[in-house]
Parts: sequence; structure tokens; C-alpha cells
Amino acid sequence: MGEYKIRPYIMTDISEITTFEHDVIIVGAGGAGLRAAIESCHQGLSTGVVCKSLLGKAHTVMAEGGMAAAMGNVDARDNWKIHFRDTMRGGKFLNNWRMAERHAKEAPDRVRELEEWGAVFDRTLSGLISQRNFGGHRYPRLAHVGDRTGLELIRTLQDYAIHQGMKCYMECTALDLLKDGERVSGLVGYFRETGRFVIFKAKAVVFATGGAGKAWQVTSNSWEYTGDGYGMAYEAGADLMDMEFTQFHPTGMVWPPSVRGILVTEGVRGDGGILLNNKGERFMFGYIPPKFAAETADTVEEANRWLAGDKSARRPPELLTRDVVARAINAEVKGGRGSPHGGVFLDIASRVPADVIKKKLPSMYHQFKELAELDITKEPMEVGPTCHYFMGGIRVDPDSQMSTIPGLFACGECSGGMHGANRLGGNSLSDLIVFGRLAGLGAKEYVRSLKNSPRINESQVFSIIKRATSILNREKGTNPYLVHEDLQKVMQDNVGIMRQEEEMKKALIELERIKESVSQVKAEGTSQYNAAWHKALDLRNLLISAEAVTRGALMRQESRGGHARLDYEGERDEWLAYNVVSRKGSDGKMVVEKIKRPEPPEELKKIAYAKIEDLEIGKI
Amino acid sequence: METITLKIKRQERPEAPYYWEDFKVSYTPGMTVTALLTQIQKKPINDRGEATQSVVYENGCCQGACGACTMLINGRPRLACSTIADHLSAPIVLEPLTKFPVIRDLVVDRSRFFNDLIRASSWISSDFNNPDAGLVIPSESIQKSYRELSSCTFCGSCLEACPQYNSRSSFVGAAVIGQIRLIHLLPMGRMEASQRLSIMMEEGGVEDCGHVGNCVKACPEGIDLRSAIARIEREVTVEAVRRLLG
Ligand SMILES: Cc1cc2nc3c(=O)[nH]c(=O)nc-3n(C[C@H](O)[C@H](O)[C@H](O)COP(=O)(O)OP(=O)(O)OC[C@H]3O[C@@H](n4cnc5c(N)ncnc54)[C@H](O)[C@@H]3O)c2cc1C
Ligand code: SF4
Ligand code: FES
Repeated sequence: MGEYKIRPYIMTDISEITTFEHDVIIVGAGGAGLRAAIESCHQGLSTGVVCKSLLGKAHTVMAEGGMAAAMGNVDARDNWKIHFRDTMRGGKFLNNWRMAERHAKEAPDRVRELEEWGAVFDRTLSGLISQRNFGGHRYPRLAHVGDRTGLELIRTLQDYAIHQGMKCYMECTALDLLKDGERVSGLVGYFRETGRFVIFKAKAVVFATGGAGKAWQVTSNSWEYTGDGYGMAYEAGADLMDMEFTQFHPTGMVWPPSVRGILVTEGVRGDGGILLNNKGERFMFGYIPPKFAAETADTVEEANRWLAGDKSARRPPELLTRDVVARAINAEVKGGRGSPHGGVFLDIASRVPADVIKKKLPSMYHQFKELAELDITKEPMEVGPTCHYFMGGIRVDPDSQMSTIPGLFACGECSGGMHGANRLGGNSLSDLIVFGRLAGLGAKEYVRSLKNSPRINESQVFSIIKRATSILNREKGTNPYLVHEDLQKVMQDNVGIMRQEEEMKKALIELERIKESVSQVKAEGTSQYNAAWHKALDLRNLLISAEAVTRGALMRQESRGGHARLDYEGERDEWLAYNVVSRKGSDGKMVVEKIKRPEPPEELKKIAYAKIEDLEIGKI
Repeated sequence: METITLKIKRQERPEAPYYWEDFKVSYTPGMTVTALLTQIQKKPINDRGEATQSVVYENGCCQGACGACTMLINGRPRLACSTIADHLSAPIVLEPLTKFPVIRDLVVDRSRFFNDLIRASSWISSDFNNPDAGLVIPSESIQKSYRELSSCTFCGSCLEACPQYNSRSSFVGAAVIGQIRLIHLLPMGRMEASQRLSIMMEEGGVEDCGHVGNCVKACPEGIDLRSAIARIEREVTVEAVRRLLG
């Protein structure tokens, strides 16, 4: 087993740039990156993983609620078809059909495989993997480990990946891709500690870099979520797809201010929590969309029976999909019925005994105790929407996960298609392990098919490094922290939960102005562990992500899932036929276009639009 | 607006000498130490009004889940993202962990921790489709212990608090032993137990534990490391006897 060094080398000569060579380089050590690495190692490829934080600290560790897989352990009526149907309905039928199909079919095996590698999920009384309720899922479907599912997933995958021979380059940030003609030949990055540049030469590159929530002020995302994968892929000429679909999770903390945005897991509602306005009304009953009315409880009495375990009762409206709940909360607050700090109340204290809360939601209990000095077993929480997840991302082939650039693959949150217009809770963790594996397999196929190794082009390396060092070298310039705040405010104010043309046009003008500031950004000091420099380097990617979201949102003249427009209310059927794609034009400016979606296979269409009863009895 | 003083132990490079620098930052009740540090990053001006290099610190999830942000806060190892300034006595003194080499300011090099985890093989290496590694139905009590031990975020607080863990010894420390215990709770983990126990018998293994118990007090997850260590000690003894008897 090789030594792991977080500080790899002491630089002796400025001009000396180390090159590491692997068959496959994976950027990102979250669930998707690690699962891809395992597959790549298992296929006998030399595999390197580059990640900008320490191993084990990737965004995935924050995941709380669980991963969705139709194992049918808690309710035997569940099967892949119903999971598929739920996913399509949640995604407002804009999901890539093939991806949603593979996801629903393969997730159970991927979850079981984790147990072979040392994970242990919570159990039912009869010893099976337990599954919990979540918004948009017809049956209890989320395999979980208390409310710390991400930690278990990451630990299991990283332990196993290391033993499979993955080589890891930690605290190393990828800057840009290298290409040999049309195809990928590697990338340039820098080690955060020393600021030293490094070349990774590879036959295939897999991006598993996550999303870009840090473009908004209120977000559940960590500092890592600056859209690096989107930025790098875009610059290299890849297509980004569905970027207008940003998920605002309905329940983030709203108080105290320094923790605003931190997630309150949907598990609180799954386990019985209810939403109340300042009049004490359970307001979600007033926001049930017609499409979901047949499957949602319309009285408090029925909702309570559901919680008590009555299988004939329909699900409470608090468990409608995230886009619906987030907009309802937004409307309550705007209507003057909000809580003191601009949210609404989430009450589990009066619904579930204290010891059960502590057992099922331990980290929520601690999070509120430590950060808000509030005991959730005694008092209601205050919650409001927070920017949470990017449904869109790098456009990939549904089977191989290859992007529009030969040799560049993408999986996990940074890829697009699987979740359509809105992701169901729990469908991300399962997405990571299903498509992480497929990306590993796709990379193998591609690497095997190559006739010769791609070559590194030195002038590309030089220009990447020049862009990075100019931030340190310029005499004076803009402050990266202030530029970032500026960008966040523009997006929060103009491209939030409810959108309209005027505001988005204004945002585009502001983004042009910010582009100017980004090109003049200055970090004081040297490249040695310089946080301001790191921040400055992230800005380009944040800006590309923000622009793609805004342009996509402006183009899509309808409201669907995570994209809601005041000036174009409701879903418009003509838009169901299109995805919006953005890419870098030949003049260097962003081009957005509508592309026609392929027709779904009849069989899948039948399942997606089936009556639930027919699927339950196996008629379809 | 109120202000609060942070007294920070700083160091520019691994070999450089350290120095102290004070910062006055604006403060509203409920702010975490991480939130205070972010303020310095945005405007790196010390309490004498001089512009200075921004303070570097580790940070990840900001919700107590990843263990990246451990530092000494008023002398105790704590997670900066989950420590609210309201109850800390001022000035708030921030120092990097002392058991690892400093990289810069509050950032330390935790390679030793990673290497020990790998050395002790506390990470499972079962093969794909290993027939014996299939699904297990753990008992309630195993689930409970497992749950507790698996909540480790590798924050390193237990190592910081341990008098036996230092640059003169090769002791692996409580967290690593906890992970071994975790794996030995599972059938497929036990398949390779002998190999792991060999390492626990060597220098730096479980016998280096001085039973001071600081680790238990320091752990933000409240993991009962003391009993995990006791269990591994017993496993080592049984293994030694077994080997003696051949
Ligand atoms: C608080 C919270 C709770 C959640 N709970 C759930 C849940 O219960 N169920 C569910 O299904 N989903 C949940 N999600 C969503 C889910 O966790 C994420 O979508 C998912 O973990 C993303 O995983 P990933 O592998 O794509 O990327 P990540 O885990 O985010 O990993 C990204 C990796 O890329 C690296 N990286 C990024 N840019 C660079 C660069 N330039 N150079 C080098 N490395 C780079 C990072 O260091 C990191 O290792 C939650 C999200 C949040 C924020
Ligand atoms: S055992 Fe506790 S103190 Fe030690 S690393 Fe794990 S979480 Fe931190
Ligand atoms: S930042 Fe993750 S635990 Fe503090």
C-alpha cells in the first residue's frame, strides 16, 4: 500500500511541473467519483482520483436522509417500475428516460453491494435493510443510516477504493482540461498547500465534481460547490444541459444568520414532521397540485392515519415534491404568514416522542441544539428554502456517461439528465452509485478502444498556468470575496425560486459586469496555501454556471419542476419536447439552444403514465 | 454592532516560526467560530488596523459532519463550524492542532492519521462477489455499537487529547482502534482480523494506550472509545494465546 501524502513534494524549481500518468483520472472523491474509481480499478485500469478537499470530506458526507432503491423491504408492493414512475413524475417527465430506467433497475443491487463492502444500514424488525418515507416516493424507499447516510457511504466507498488500488491526490484542485485534437488528454491542477502546478496525463477523465450552489447567498452547499466541473467542461467545448433546473430545498435553517441555508433533512417530514404558518395552520393542504391530488391526503385526519401506518391512507401534503413545498413556503412568507425570521415552522416535537426523534434524527437534534440552541423535541424549528441541488449538468450518453467530448465522462450531481426538472430526495445518492459505476465502465470501453495514447500539448498547459498566476501577479485588482458576494446577490435576487424575464435580463447585464471584475481579480501574497487565490480561481466556474442557469431559465418559457416563472405559469406541453443546452460559441460567448428530445420507448412511456394500481398488482 | 476579539496563532510555512495576531471582528449572537474566521478572510485587517495575510483554516460541510474544521478553541480541540462564540470567554484563542505538523495558520498535515488507518488495515478489502461476504443480519446490540463507532468523522480530536499520541511515539490512537473494532463487528471484517491484530500487537498498537480516557471526553460524537479499546485489547490477548497454542 503506497504512502498517502497530503503534502506530496517540496518544490525545488519553479519551472519544474510534475506529471502523473494514469489510464483514468477522476476528479472528485464524493460518492460518484469513488464509485467510478472502484469500477475503473476493478477493470484493471490505473486510476487516479483528484479532489480539492481531504479524502472523506467531500460534499457527499453531508447527505442525511438516505438513498432510494426499490427493494420493497418495508412495503412489498414496491418495485423498479414504481420507482421509475415516481422519478419521472417528480422530474415532470423531462428526465432522460434511459437514465431513469437504469437508475430504478440498478439501485437495489448497488445498495446491497455496499453492504458487501462493509456498510450497515438501519434494519427493519425482521433484519432487512430498513427504508424510510421521503417526498415524492410512493413507498418507504430510502435505505439509510440514521440521518448520516452520506458518512457511511463515503467511508465504505473510500475504504474499498483504497484497497482496490486507487491512487488519491488530495487537496489538489483541477484547473482545466487538456486536449489532443478533439479528445481529452488530461488536465492541469494545483496542490492547495504549496500552490504547485501539476499535470495529470490520462486517456480518459471522469468528472464527479458536484454542483454550484455557492452561486446563491442562501445554500445548503459547502465551499466546494463552485461548479468547477461545469466551468472546465464548458471551456473545453462540452454541452451543459437543463441548467435552468435548480432545486431549492424547502427546509433550510433560517436562524441564526451565520448558519442560514444549512439543510434540515426531509427525513423530519418523512418521519412525521408538519409545516405550520404563524397562524398555526397546516398550510400545505392548500397547495396540492391537481396532478398529485389523487395520491395525496386532503384532510388532517387522513394524513394522521398515514403516519400511524394505515396503508389505505394517502400521503400527507408535506411530502409533495420539493419544488411544490418550496414554492408554498415562499408564498406563505411573502403573504405575511411567516415565522419571526422569515421562514415557516417545522414541527416534529408535538408529533413524535422525544426519544424516537433522538434515535431517528440524531444529527438534526444536535444541529439545532448546537447551532440554534433549540431543542427540536420540545419546540418547532424555523425553516425556509435553500439552494440545494443542480438537476442540470454536463450532457452525457445515458449508458456510457461520456460527454460530447471524446474521453470526458461525467457522473453524479455534475452530470445532467437523470433527474429532469426536479430531483426526488434520496435519488441522488443512488444516482451516484449507479452512474459512478457506469462511468467507470464507460471509461474502460473508451480506453480499450483507443489506438494510441493522447499527447499533452505544452502550450495549453502554459496558458492554463498563466491564467492562474496572473491573479497573483497583477499589481492591484478586485477582491475575490467581494466579487463572489456580488455574484451571489445577483443570483439570489434575480434568479431565485420565482423567476421573470425582466429580472433575469437584469441578471445577465450584472453578470457581464461581474465578468469584468473576475478578469481583474487580485489575490495578495504568494501561491503557498493562499485562500484568496483559491477563491479567485473558483470565480470563473461560478460565473459560467450562473450564466448557464440564467440563460436557460430565460429561454424556457414555462414553469416546470425546479424552474418556476411568474410570467409563464404552469407546464406547457410544447416545452416537454425540448432540453435547453448551453455551450461555448466560436466567438467565446455562451450559446444556448433548444434541442429536441428523443421519443421515449413505448414500454417506458406506458409505465411512466400508468395508473398506480395497475403497477401495484403487476398488470403492467 | 458588537465586536469580538480573536487571538490567532499563525505560521506562514511549515518551517517558519509562529506568532500571534489579534483580530477584532463584528459579531452577532449565534455566530460560529467558522463564521468569525470567514469575516477575517473577507477583510484581513488586524486589531492594529494593519492589512495582513488572510487567515487560513480548514472547513468542509459546516454542519459537524465531516470533521475537517478541528482546531484548538480556547485550548480544547473542537469543531469550529459547530462551536458558537456566545459561550466562549473572550478573547477567543484559536490554535492549530498540536499533534500534526502545521502547514499554514490553522491548517495541519494529517497524513499520519490517514497512513495509520491504511497501515492498520482498518479499511475492508473484501473481494467482489466474495461468497462469504454476503448480507448479514446484525443483532440489535451489534447495530447499536456499529452505529456509534461508524459516526466517527475522523476529526482527530481524540488524537489531540491523547498524551500517548505524539511525535515521539508511533501510537495509532483511539480513532484507528475504534475503526478496527467497527470492522470486527462484521463477519467479513473478522475474516482478516488476524492480520489487523498483528499490527495492534506491534509497537504503536493498542498496547501503547495509557488508559487516560481523554479521548472519550474530546470526541464530539460521544463515541465510547474506552470500551472499543478494551475490546481490541481482549482480541489481541485471545489472538496471542491462540498463536501460542498454534
Ligand atoms: C446537506 C445535504 C444533504 C443531502 N442529503 C441527501 C440525501 O439524504 N439523499 C440524497 O440522495 N441526496 C442528498 N443530498 C444531495 C447529495 O448529497 C449530493 O448531490 C451528492 O452527494 C453529490 O455527490 P457527487 O459525488 O456528485 O459529488 P460530491 O460528493 O459533492 O463530491 C464532489 C467532489 O469533487 C471535488 N471537486 C470539485 N471541484 C474540484 C476541482 N476543481 N478539482 C478537484 N476536485 C474537485 C470535491 O473535492 C469533491 O471531492 C444532500 C445534499 C446536501 C448538501
Ligand atoms: S473517534 Fe471521535 S474524536 Fe476521534 S476522530 Fe472519530 S469523531 Fe473525532
Ligand atoms: S466543517 Fe465539517 S465538521 Fe466542521
